[in-house]
Amino acid sequence: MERIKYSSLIHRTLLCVLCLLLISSCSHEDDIELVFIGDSNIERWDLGKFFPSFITENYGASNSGIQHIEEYAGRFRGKRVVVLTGINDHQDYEISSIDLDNYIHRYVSAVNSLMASKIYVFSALPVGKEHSENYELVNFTTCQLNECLREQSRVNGWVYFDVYSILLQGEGVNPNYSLDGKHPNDRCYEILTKLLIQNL
Amino acid sequence: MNKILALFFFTLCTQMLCAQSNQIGFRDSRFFQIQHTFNRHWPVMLEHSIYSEKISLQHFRIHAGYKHLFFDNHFSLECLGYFGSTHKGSYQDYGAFVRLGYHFDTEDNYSLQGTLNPHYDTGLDYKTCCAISTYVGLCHVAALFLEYTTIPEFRQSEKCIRTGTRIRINSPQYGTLAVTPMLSIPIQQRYERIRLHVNFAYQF
Repeated sequence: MERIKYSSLIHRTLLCVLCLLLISSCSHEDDIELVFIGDSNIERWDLGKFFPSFITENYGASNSGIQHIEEYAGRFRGKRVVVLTGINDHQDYEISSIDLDNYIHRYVSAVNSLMASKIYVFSALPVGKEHSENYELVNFTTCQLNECLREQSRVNGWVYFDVYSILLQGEGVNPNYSLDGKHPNDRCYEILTKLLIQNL
Repeated sequence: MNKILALFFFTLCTQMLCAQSNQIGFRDSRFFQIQHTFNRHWPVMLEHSIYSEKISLQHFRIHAGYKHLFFDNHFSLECLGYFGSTHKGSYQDYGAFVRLGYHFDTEDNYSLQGTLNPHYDTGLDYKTCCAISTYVGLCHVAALFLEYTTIPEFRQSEKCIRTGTRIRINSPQYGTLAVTPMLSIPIQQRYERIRLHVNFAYQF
């Protein structure tokens, strides 16, 4: 009986000491704060679930385009910003080369005007036949847009993620990554999350 | 720090082997828990995340406190302090859970519980969170669960309504097993962000 008492006391003391050691031994690395801005693909991203170790803010808005990003000029000074937009600006019509040049110029100005310390740009995502009859045309234009985004990312020092080619299957989006042919599902968000975390 | 955490885990395990009133389980599908209660009133718990991320970003938390049942086991009071951190120490969180419950029956099939959670996160600062939950018995082993909570499921506080069914099997010989699948519905966000969680607890 006496022995059990001592054993219990030792265990408790050991636990207390370990707790104190644990508290005092924590190393300190920078906490990461991420701001996400873009269209419904950002808005639907469950950031709490996919980035449980980071501080996140979601500024995604359904049916928005580059104008939505322009509205936040100067708001994210010094922060890390993740951008995913573009599809709503061109999906209903074909962008001619002149339009695309103008659009890219506007895109670069809008993203740089956020005044972020680091920019992470996701390529516009492909759509499937479930979303649009003209999905092949939309994806052709998206492809052109993404090529320009890749080049501008290199020039402006942004981190660029080419998820378009990962999600593409044939002429449309891989049905494993989207239920409605436009918006990513959880499996797709996992891919986007892993790409981003690897490059933070 | 990982060595110390392993030592803590080992100590808790050895203590569990030589005493009763232990619990292992999962919270919200993403946190593994191991708990030992000293003298029926002093719980100590280690909680560790199982995120699909590298180990340095995993989060652990140590809880310790006091719990008591009174008025013929109809009222319960539990006060738990906690300290948590990621393995790489990118942030720490500390706070307390103060839980007061009223149990309409001794089998805990009908109960009402309020939780106050003063919570400090080194990146997000202080926030007072709370939760109110109820269990309504459907049959001997199943009870409907409904909760309104602002307590963070992961790191950031969100207003959520959680609902599900608790299935609990009690065996005097083997202990108590409870599984609670539930939906967590954020109030201020889009419906696409409904989360499916499973809580699991085995008391022995």
